Amino acid sequence: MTSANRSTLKQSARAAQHPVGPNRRSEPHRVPDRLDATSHGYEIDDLRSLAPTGWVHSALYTDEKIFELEIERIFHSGWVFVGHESEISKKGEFKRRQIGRQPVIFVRGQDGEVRVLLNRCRHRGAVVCEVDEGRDTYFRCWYHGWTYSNSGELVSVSGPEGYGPSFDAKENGLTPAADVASYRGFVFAALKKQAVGLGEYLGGAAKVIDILVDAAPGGELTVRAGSNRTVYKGNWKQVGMDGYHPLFVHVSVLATWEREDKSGQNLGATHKANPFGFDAISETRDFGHGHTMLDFRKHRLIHAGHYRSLLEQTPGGSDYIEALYAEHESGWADLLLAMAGDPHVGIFPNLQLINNQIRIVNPLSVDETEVQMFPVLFARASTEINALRLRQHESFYGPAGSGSTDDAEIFERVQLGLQASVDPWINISRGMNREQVEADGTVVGHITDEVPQRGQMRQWLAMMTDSGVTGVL
Amino acid sequence: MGGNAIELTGAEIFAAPAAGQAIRRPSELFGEVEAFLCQEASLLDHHAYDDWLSLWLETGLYWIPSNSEDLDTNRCVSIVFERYGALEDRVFRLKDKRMHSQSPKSKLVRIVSNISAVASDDADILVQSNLVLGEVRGGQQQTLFGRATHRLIRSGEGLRIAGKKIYLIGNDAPMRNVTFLL
Repeated sequence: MTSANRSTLKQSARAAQHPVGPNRRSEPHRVPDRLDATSHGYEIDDLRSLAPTGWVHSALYTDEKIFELEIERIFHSGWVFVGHESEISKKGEFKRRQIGRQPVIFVRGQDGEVRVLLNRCRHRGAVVCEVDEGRDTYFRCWYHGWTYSNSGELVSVSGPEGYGPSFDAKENGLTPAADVASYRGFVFAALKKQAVGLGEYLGGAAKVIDILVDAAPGGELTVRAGSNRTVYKGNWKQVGMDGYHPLFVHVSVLATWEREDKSGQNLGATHKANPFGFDAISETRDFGHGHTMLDFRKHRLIHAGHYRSLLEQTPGGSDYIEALYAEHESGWADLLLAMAGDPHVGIFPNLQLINNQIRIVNPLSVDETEVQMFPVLFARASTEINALRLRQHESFYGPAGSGSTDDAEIFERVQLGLQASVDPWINISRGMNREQVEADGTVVGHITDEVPQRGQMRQWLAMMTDSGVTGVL
Repeated sequence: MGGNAIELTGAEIFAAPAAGQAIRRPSELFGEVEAFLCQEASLLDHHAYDDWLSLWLETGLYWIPSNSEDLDTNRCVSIVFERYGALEDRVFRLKDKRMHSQSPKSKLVRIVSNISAVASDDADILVQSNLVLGEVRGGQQQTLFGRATHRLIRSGEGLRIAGKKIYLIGNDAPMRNVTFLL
């Protein structure tokens, strides 16, 4: 035995005197350190060479080692969206969620505080919450009976006499995420303490989230309508923020929109005017930190009349419109009404606010991704307006919707095509010849340009290659 | 569309008919119901969309709940909650060769079984059945399990669908595309 091995053994013997683990709460010690890229066969410079501006090497979508690095360096290292406060509006309500590979519980404690706790018993590691959602005062591990309050404290250990006086229950609660912060009810968590606060991380994207929140009278969103859970066999980075695809991927839906609407039930078209044409005035935006937007604002302001008249025909619609103008100055209210609460923004790495939904992108493996869609309702709007929001969502999104399904199909075709790696490069250069940079650094392009793809890839590269980075602008 | 979505809730359409009585084999009505369900399944398996649509009343409701077996559709999301008009659009798209998720089309086999029915008379029948549906597409196979509820109303041409609800027991788990008709 070498001396190095002997000293390791001595250390573990010392550690054994604290039979239930190291007494450190400040750092969630179960989160491994950043994986060494070289141990995965990738030097940092290799990663840089795989994503030069305007190009992406297909290994980013197909290589399991890169996927493992993404989990550690992006999902386990930076801000990740967990849920909306209204999902757990009552004390004790909880949802089971995922941060990368880590199962977590999104819960409101008896003290009213929202927490994100690792779903793992501090004794032998079983999940203590085995259902997707519920409401309770405690979580019990049914392996040996350790019991935690809904605030995460260890409140009961079976047979405590077996642990001696050095055992401190306070040090053995469910491990909280290192950082938790909320922007207008949207709760983000990080498994490592963040140098960059959530506000700074969201940057210019925060004002765009307001397009959804302010569209709800009183700013009160209700995210309690259940969800659609979809899965496709493709890499997580394929999801969304592409304004170039609808004319092709969704051509059959566009054809449906053009049918005579004899039933009045053709709901895919909150806005029948197509915002995606090559001559459209819609834009793409890259706010930095990988946050990007398909920016329909100019287009929708012109076509606001359709949604307004749809609302006016809906019971409670006129009251709703009145409330918007009572709460906001008229220019902003005009925009809220035109946008119908749809910012069409992607917050890196796992949140999208699209149409009437909050969408969580959950990477399962290098070639499998879950997309969970939560329709958002307005707490103070009429039942009919909220029912309309649900029907609009269902018509395009979810596992049987007209739009999501063709998206998933194309993502799977991409994943298949990328296996042909003799010529491994993906081209994301569209619009580099005409993009503009605004005074605050936001990059703007035409709706069909790949400004969002480049913005997301810049953030990807920053997080994957810089050991200290939460994000760059 | 306005109040249309809440005119008649799923709960109302899929409630047992007033003063309904169970019907059983070998009654003629039960045989007719069973044959109807098998014919419908065959049309769906063979992508005979227009023929399938012709089985529907124009006020019909097609409902696939999400997350649970029953829910308030005014407050909770479904996988599909469509009146006949929207169903027509769905069929229009299914016939469009540019609906990529059905190009190529799924190969489908469904087994309809465990049928039970309640009828108030031979013109208003609520039918429950179990469903096993196998799909093969792109070399991948998936199996869906569900419980179907049909509200059948007799019109001049025979039984017609006033409502069809399919509860997939996997509707609270991540699902692959379900772009064929259930």
